[in-house]
Amino acid sequence: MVSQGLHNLKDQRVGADSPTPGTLTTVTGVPATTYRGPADRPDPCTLVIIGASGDLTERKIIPALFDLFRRGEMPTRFRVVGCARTDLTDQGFRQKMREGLHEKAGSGDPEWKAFSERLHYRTIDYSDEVSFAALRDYLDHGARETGMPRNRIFYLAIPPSLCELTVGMIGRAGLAAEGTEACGCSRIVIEKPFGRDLKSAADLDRTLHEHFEEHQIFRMDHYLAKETVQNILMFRFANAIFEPIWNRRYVDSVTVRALETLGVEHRAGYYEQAGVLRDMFQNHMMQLLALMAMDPPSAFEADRVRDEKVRVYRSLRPFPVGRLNQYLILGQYGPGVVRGKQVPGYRDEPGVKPDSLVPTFASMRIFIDNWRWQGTPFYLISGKRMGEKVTDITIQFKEVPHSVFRNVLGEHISANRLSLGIYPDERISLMFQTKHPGPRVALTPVAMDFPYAQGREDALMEAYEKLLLDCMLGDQMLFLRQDSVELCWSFLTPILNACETCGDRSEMLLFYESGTLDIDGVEQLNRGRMEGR
Amino acid sequence: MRQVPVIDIRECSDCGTCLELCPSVFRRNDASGFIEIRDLPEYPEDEILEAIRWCPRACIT
Repeated sequence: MVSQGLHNLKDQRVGADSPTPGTLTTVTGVPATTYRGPADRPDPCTLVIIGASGDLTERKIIPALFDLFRRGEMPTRFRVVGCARTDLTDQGFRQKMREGLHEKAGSGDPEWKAFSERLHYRTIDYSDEVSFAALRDYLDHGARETGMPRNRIFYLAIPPSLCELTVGMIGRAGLAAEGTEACGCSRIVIEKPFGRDLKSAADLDRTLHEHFEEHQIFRMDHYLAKETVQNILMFRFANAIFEPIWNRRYVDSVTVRALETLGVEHRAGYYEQAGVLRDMFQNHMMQLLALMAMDPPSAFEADRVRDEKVRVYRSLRPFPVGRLNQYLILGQYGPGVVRGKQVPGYRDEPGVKPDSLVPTFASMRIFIDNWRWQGTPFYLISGKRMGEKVTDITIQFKEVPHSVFRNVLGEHISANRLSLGIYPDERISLMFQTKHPGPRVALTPVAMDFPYAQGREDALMEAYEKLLLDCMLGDQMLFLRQDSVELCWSFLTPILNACETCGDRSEMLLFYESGTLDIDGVEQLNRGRMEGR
Repeated sequence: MRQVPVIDIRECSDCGTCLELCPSVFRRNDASGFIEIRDLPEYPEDEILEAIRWCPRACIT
């Protein structure tokens, strides 16, 4: 469907009591933990970054904290304590972090000076309990010296292989305790992956729960904090007109796409172990699926929202192992041309085995066996070295049940389509039919289009900023709960087994030329390979 | 005798565990993207043993 007319909501007249199109609407009834602005700052806290000499701290965590600080959204009193094996002084750590900010902060920047005075560094030995006891004493001393409450957040910016070891060290040092007179809150942030299969995910969780309660554990998937992803629930449940048609009766299919033009770049070693299913589906794609398919929660509160997501996962129809090819397409990119540049195939990438069977593309057809979605396919599609970079969600509605125009226009009228764009354009777009101007009876598909950032540049918050802020506030809404992690692993296990252990793996793999598979190509693939319901 | 650790790049998953545990010996080559061993007159045995112990791919010897 091609849009020939563009009618922006902004151009339409609105009633005197209507909100101005394009302005932010406040949702009523939000719980006290939901952040409303700088006036509602988190309590004073100490953020302890374990693995602070790594890229993640320099590229994401410190820039996000600095941006929050500049906007006045950090607690009135806070400290950041970086910890890693590398020997660094406080000054050395501050210098390294400032270099990571590039042009964002010059050495003489007064805001950076004020922020960096709160940055500290401790060398730790991951295997040494004495080292973590010393960290505890250091934090206690800092709290006494500054008079700050002992609210602590431990951010694990370390490889997954060290998470269980480090969680144990933090716990045995008494740093997970909270609620006593001497302690404030203690929270722990871990980033995906949460295990590499169901068993390892459960093992990690067991270790976490030896020392932390669920309300202290913040499992982070930065995808969930993108503004347009957060907006899905607002869009669905703050408007009365969409929810009545958000079901099998009116929706023909739902498609979630995350396509990228990049290859594995310098991550071949990781990707050979992960593949597209672990890299994209177990986390990001399954989260987007739940946001689109879930029922309305009773309240916009962390556990009520997460309960509804879990209900979606419990309703997923298991993949029929004997007929996987009707539900799943796996692919691997070969050499080709992307944006005018010759690129190697996956097997030719440095660090990739020449006979690798790791999928770099997957298209999945999923059914949700519940009252709302019975028989409606959900397509999840993600791949590397595609013809275009795009992340979006499309709700394809059904055609009109009976065309009154059949005698003049034929039976077929293109159905409505709602598109929620995440990248490159954060926007909402609804396609519908109008009369083409002129004496002849003809239809023109047009789009009602809302660019998300329009007129509200200041309101957009980077994903890491949002998640760090929510963690300081103790709001777990955008963090994963363990039951959803384990249900997603359970759902994907038959596919992972088929991809990684069965004898005819090469027959499952479609080899595609880099840069050639665009959105139309993917749709043709789906139609060709996944027939019948 | 100086004992130099070796990484089997074919097995390495680039997880960064060795970089975290033993940054004085292991480093990432930004040009190639691979983890490599620094050329040192002596290597800290305890730290290297720790990296070997926690490497999830058992690719350091």
